[in-house]
Amino acid sequence: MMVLSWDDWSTHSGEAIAEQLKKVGISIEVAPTDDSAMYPRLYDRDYGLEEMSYGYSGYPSHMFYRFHSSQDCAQCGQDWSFRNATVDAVIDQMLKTTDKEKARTMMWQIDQMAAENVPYIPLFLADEYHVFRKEWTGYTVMPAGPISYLNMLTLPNIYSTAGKKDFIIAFNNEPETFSPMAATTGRSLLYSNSLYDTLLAYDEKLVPIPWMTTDLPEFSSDGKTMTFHLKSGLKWHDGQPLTAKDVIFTLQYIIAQSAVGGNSGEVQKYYESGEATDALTAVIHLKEPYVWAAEAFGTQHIIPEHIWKDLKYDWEQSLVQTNPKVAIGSGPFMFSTWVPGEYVKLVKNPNWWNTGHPLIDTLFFRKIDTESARILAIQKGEADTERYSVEPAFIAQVKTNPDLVLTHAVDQWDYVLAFNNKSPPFNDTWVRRAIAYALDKDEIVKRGALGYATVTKSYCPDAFFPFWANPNVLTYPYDPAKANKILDEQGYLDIDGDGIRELKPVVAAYQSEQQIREQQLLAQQQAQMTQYLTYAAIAVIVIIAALYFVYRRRKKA
Amino acid sequence: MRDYLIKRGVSALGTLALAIVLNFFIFRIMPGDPTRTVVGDFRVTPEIRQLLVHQFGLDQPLWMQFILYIQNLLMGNLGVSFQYRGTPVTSIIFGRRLFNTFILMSSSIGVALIIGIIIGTIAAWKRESKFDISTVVFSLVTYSMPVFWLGMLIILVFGYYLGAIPIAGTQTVGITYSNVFEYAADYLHHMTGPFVTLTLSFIGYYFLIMRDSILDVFTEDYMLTAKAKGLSDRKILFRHAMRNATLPMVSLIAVEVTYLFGGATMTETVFSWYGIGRLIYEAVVMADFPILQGIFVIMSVVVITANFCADIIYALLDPRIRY
Repeated sequence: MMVLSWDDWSTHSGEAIAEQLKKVGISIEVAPTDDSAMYPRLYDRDYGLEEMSYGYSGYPSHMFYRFHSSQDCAQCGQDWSFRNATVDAVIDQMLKTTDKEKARTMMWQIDQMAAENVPYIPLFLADEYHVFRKEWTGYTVMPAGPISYLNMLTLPNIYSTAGKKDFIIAFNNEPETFSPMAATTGRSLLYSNSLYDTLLAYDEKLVPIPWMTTDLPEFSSDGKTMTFHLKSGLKWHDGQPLTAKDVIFTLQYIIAQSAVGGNSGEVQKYYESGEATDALTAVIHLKEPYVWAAEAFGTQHIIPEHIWKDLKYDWEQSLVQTNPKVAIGSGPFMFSTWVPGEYVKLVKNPNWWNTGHPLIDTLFFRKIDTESARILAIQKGEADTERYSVEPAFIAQVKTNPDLVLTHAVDQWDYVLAFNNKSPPFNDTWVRRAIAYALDKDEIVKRGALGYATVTKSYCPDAFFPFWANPNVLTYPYDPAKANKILDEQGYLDIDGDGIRELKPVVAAYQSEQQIREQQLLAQQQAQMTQYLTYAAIAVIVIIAALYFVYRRRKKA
Repeated sequence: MRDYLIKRGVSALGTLALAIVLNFFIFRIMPGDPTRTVVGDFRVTPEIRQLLVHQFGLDQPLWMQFILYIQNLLMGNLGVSFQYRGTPVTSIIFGRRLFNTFILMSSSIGVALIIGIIIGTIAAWKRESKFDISTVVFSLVTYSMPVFWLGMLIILVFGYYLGAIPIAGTQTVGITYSNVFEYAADYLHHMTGPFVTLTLSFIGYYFLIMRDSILDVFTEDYMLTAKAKGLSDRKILFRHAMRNATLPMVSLIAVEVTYLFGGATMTETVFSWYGIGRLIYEAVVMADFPILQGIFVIMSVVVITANFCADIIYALLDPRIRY
């Protein structure tokens, strides 16, 4: 079983899993593996078991990426080669359903079918503990935490009961880009969220709410046309009016320039055409109906046409030093200063549509590198909160400090135990079910995450997606007796009495074949390494030889 | 002399060429996939990853990448960073980072060197006295203490409990300075923590070398001559012993020049000091090859130049070195 070597949670959970499986007679070896080795093996399906964290976005599109047969390819959504025609059919139908209630019923079906087939076993979601100094209030705690790129509500609404007007977030990352067209990470999207605005935002249950718009978008009866109505009087930071033309321009820009930022992937996939029928109405035609079209298009940051029409999307030009214009948006904050290595200063946008907000005047992202220094800075009042969840080792210390408040939510990182559904014995659904019964997830959370995680029992868990979660889905409570019974019935018996079940002969043969392949792969890697080293050695020898000749000639002379 | 210069020059250039070649291959053998660490987001589609691979030039064959690297290097172009979305490496290195590192390292190395030389001389003079024993113990303790731990301790005690120094950074957040002196004062205030940490960690090394080297000098004949001439203790110690014993320190300094540009990764990280050491650490984590290559090329140039200069100065100073 591969686990990620640098992620303690992955490795420690892996050890707990190995011990639990031993109790039902399954012996697995935990192999901590570096990303550079792990991902190629995942893509080649050259593994039996793996355990690490995947991630959720604001809407459960992972149910498509993780279960649809079309995603069974290298570097696609699913690493487990799960193929099931019935599941595909329901997913396809759900993706085309614009009525959320109806789509939800189908989502429940998919969740149920996934649970029956167990392509992987959901283990737990990391917890998000956020620390604030106690004078701050008005923040919104939602899945992924009060300060994250999914959360548009906290920063405009946070205020200090002590009348402080500067809010300082300790952050260990330097801004990589301010351009929403180049922002691919949560770290960069947080800046995009403050400087730019989106058509929609999420509420605390990750349900979309109107943001720059007066209402949620209207859909045509065939679901292929979506109409957004903008609030009136929207302005860019430079005072120019923001109209529906900017919205259409943004989408066309993403397509024309193959921009990578934000939700551009889904925009590129579904956008067909669009027009601004008047200054406040943007009509978007989709290639086909899409259940999360509102979310996907609604959370894309809108860029100003009057600036970007002459601006080529170029990742080398997306930084504010080379191109200050990339920071002109319409969001709640305006760019002020960036002192590299120290802080980024944003100031309140007085012309923001939500009059009176933000409630703070200045927002600082202060760079502090280590968690211990960040926590000390917050305790001392040099910072008010930090960007990420408090590291587990510091939680007890924060809890006992009367100046600090700790909030709790689930984070977006979900840990799973995944099977290679093509590789025996894990191609046998009964084996996967038996393993699901054999796992004590509470114990895994205790050992793997020091208890700072929330057990997940389904594929679309209530803790993160309260709207979409199936309340009556099939689950696998911890029951080792049942696991043993299933394995016995399926003929995985312990023949030689060493406490470990033997594989069926067919399976055994397959496994030895696997081993040969593995050796071949290793040889290949070694060959490549030798090639690199040879290049280096040749270059070194040539230089030394050249030096030697120069030296000799000088000596002769 | 001309021959000597050319010989030294050629060998310096050769070493540089070796360093530049190795520099390219070492970071490519290192595990880690830059596109994955830089993108770091599960929602990125394979097409976008492909686009980034192309933008990074990682889809080119290795030899082609090598030729490009050499070509760019000859034109003084160190490439563009992956993690900072294409900022030129030269502008990342030559800027605030280098300034901060240089100030911090030169002042702490300088002060540690002076203190180390002085107390090393005194300790050797008063060998086995209370002063000698206590300074030896002190320097062994500070020298073997993990520097990040010492730094964290200083932050906790002086930064948090006593509130005497800031916890992180090189300047106060959000402040606007009315003049350059205000800035300098704020900067120095922020530098206190890392400066004290580094100075403490360097002193022991210089102290021990100086003490040993003085003890060596004491056995030389000219010390006896000096005593026989009736010179005062103070004159013997500072005029004769210390001067001669400082010679090994000079070659030590040539080596320490690297630190002036390479920084101290641990200390810079603990104090969030925005310098080159921290840049190296971040670049390793993010598999940002161009930055690592850039820093190491510059460091090799600096070290090789420093050694070249040292060779020449030695030749001028020391009559024993023949051309």
